[in-house]
Amino acid sequence: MINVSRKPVFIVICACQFLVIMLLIFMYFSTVEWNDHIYRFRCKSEQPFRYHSKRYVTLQLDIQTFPREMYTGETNLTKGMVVYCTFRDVHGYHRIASISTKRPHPHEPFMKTRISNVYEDSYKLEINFSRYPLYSDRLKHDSVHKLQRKIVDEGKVVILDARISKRGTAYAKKLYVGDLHIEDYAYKKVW
Amino acid sequence: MGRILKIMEDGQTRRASPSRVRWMLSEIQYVLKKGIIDADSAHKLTQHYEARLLNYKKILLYIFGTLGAVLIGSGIVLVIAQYWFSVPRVVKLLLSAIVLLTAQILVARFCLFAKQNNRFVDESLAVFWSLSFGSMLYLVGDILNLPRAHRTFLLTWSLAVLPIFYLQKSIASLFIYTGLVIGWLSLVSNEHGVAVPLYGLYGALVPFYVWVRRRDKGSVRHIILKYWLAVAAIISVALLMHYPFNWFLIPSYAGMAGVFYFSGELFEAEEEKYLARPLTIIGLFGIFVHSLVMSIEDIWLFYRIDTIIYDLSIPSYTFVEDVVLIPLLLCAGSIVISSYCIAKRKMWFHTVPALYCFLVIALNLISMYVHNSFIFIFPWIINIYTLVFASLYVFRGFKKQSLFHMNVGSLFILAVIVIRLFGYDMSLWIRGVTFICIGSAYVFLNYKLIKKKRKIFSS
Repeated sequence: MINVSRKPVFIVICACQFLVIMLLIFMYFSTVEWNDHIYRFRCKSEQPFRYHSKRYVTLQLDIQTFPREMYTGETNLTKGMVVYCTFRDVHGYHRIASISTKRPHPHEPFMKTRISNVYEDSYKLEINFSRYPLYSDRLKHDSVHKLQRKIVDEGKVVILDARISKRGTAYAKKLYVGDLHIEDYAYKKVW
Repeated sequence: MGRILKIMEDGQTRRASPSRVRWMLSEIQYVLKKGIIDADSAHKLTQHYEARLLNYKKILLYIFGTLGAVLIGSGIVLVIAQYWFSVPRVVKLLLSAIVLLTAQILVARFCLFAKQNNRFVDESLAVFWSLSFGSMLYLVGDILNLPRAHRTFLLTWSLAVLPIFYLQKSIASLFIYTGLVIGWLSLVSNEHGVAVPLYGLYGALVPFYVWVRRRDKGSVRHIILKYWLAVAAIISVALLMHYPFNWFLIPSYAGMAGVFYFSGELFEAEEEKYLARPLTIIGLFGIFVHSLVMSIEDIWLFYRIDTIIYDLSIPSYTFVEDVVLIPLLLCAGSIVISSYCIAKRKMWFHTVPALYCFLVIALNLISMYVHNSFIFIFPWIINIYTLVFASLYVFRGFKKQSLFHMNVGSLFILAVIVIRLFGYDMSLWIRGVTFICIGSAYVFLNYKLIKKKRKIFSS
């Protein structure tokens, strides 16, 4: 092994580690907090029976699956393939307008994701922002379960307010049940 | 493995297990009482052997110290988790940085600015540092509800651990690194072009391995590292090949087992204990297990290229397989050449396992043009090969008075016979008699060898 002084190397490693973390935080704030372009996705909440994710509402977004006809590209879409989605506004919600394996024009907003599964008549997208955390002290062991049952019973529309960065990374910002923020809804109906 | 102590004296490497050293210490007291040696010699001998025992205790300290660091790291994370949801977001971000900062400060204080370096401290703090970076990365992701990109998370973490084990010269951190790389690979193995970054990630280990080999060749540290890297390579190839699960898996594993076996025979030949030869052991058992799997007729039917049905979503030949297969075949080729060299030095015995991967590839190719009703021939050919291979081992064991070779050979023969017995419909009577015969032969061979050894020892 090359003999180099360990101290400067140590300082560089420490700085790089913090730099990576700072970069993550900066990317989050630049996309979620300092960005006015809102994407609203309709979704259903899934039942989370996993103990370790009891504080999270797991969502199933409408945009998660799309029919094969929508994709008009030449190459076959396979599992794990990177795709770029563009959206259009339909009655206040965003739906997929196009899917492509090529990166869209820089000025056109897009979401970068992957194909998570291929079915006979449709494709499933990998949506990695579909888990919404509930930060509350009132949260009991089965609160999320009760909350989700209530949403289904009342037939409420669940809307995820998301932000998408220029590089195509999507972040979940807020989750609404009807017009109420999910924590307010839970406060009124469940807790 | 952990019970082997390395004793370096006048440039000579000598090994002794702790129980032998303890026996030696008691023996010194005994011969002193009998008056065979004087008190001064007894004192010098006691001091000499006690130093060996201390070395062994250091190894234990090293293992438990690393375990302790892992537990401390996990404990801190759990304590913070208890009160996590009632803390504001900014405070959470600062708190998550504290763990990493603490690790860095500890490393600076006890490793970089310490008067004397201690390997146990270096290892423990390297583990703590590696885990603390991962925990901070995870916590930041959780606090800000960042998209759950597991592959990016694992890759970032592994890249952060890479300089840590180089700086701290820590094997435990290297284990974390390879674990993370395997975790990342398990998520991306079905994607195009994964092999190239994977080679890069494993290639980064080469300078470290070379350094450990030069510095601690033959030590417990070196042997454990070799075992670990061999296992990591096997898992990685399995992950790369599992999807699409196809024909390439068979020659790749056979080739890899051959590579391990001959690398072991070439580079580990000077090791006296067989357990201290991880490449040979893994390669040998790799060839054996592979040959047993290939004894199953259904495998031959399933894996024939013309019968593989590709799903619409799976490309027929991907970059990953091509990139992985070519080096494996090249390695296998080079191994055959090297085994030829070994054979020239009257080590012809090693050329038999060298042929295995090529036998498998050739039989697979031939099986494509053979009708299904004749497929049963191929498992039989493989079985005959294994029997020849195993018999050579028994023969060698008898010739060199090596119980290891003889028992391994017998085990292989036994396994092949068992597989054949259960593969066909036979009466319990035949099976029972066969087992009795094999068992008797096994006991007889061991008895003969031990008797032969005793005879040599007494003469």
